[in-house]
Amino acid sequence: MPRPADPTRRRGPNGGAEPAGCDAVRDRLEPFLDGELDDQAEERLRSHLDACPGCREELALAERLRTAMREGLPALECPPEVTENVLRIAREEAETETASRDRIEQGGRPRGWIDRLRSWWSAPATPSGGTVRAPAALRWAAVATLLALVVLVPLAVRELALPQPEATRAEAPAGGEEGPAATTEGEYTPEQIARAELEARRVLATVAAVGRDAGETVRREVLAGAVVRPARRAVEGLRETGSDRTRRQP
Amino acid sequence: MLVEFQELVEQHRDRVFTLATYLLGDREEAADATQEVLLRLWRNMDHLDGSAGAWLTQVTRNYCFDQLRKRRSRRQALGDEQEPEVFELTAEDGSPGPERRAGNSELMRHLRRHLGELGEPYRSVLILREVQEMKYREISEALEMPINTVKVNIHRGRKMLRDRLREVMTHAQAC
Repeated sequence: MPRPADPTRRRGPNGGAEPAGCDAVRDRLEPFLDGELDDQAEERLRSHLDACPGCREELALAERLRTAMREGLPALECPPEVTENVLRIAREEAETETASRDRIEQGGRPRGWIDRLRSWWSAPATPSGGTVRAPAALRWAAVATLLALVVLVPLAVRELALPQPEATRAEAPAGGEEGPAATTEGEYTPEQIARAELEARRVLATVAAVGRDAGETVRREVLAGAVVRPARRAVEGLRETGSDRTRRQP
Repeated sequence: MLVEFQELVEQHRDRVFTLATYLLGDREEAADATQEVLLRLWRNMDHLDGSAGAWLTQVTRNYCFDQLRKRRSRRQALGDEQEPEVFELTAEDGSPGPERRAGNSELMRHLRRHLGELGEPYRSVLILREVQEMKYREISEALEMPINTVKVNIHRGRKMLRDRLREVMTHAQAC
């Protein structure tokens, strides 16, 4: 008569029965391989492994995976052109900043933003020429935005020029007397106001549609990169002229 | 400062590129990402708080995750949501890359595929630990994660990979 199945045992991956606690042991195989179990825990685990072929096989799989990761996931070398580009751009920016600071110290006008703008304009493309960072497209988007603003703003102003308010007849005085017709100057009719508002909305929507994306680019690339940051550095340079700058080491 | 920056670039460029490649699955995108990240280091050197290595790891991850989100949006816009993020680490000229030297086996391909499919933070911690051989403390600092959480995530990540690769590894062993 076959023995009833032991409820404390479960089927392993190969169909054989496994002692209870295999789940807990398998959860500890990684820290075991990393040498992070305390002596008692390691002793218990080793005892279990001695008695459990399923967990021994699991340990072998864990070791095999580590070997596979070491061999199949190698460290890579950065392409040399990436380093060359990065150092060239850094050198250009450093020279621009130094020249700007020298001019300020000599009493000259801070022209850093012009040089920075020039430097930004001549930034090289990424090694792959991809669109992740495409200075050429951004530059021309910035130019298009400025042109759109230069052309469209005067148009918008002209569009928004409101007609002279129509004269309105004042209400007849109470009591039935017919007095002379009166006009109120400087008041616009509701129709005039509604028309002007509609025209203004249309023009503003046009400007917004043209300039939205390019404007963001201009803000990010031109204003932040070529104006705000250099201006901040110039101010900090002025403050620290004549004193040693304390560096924080990375 | 330029000299200091140059030393940092030479010290960390390979790590940044390696992490970007394994996160993005594409060498060219990883090269772009590496250039962008290193330039951000240059422009923020005065404001670094902590080690440059940890800072670079954080910025690289964040930048790569942004790129992956944009990539997913582009795929969704094109109705191509099923394209897997699998990579073969081929060289730029199309010839097999380092995986050929490491043994271009079915197991390795499955390993890279399943690693790419692992969720975060398991994928990042495994790349930092297994590929870049960073210490727990370095990973903890880079990911702003308690050391014990780093260890738990590494162990769980390995166990997930082991479960997914069990059949392939068993078959590879038998052959």
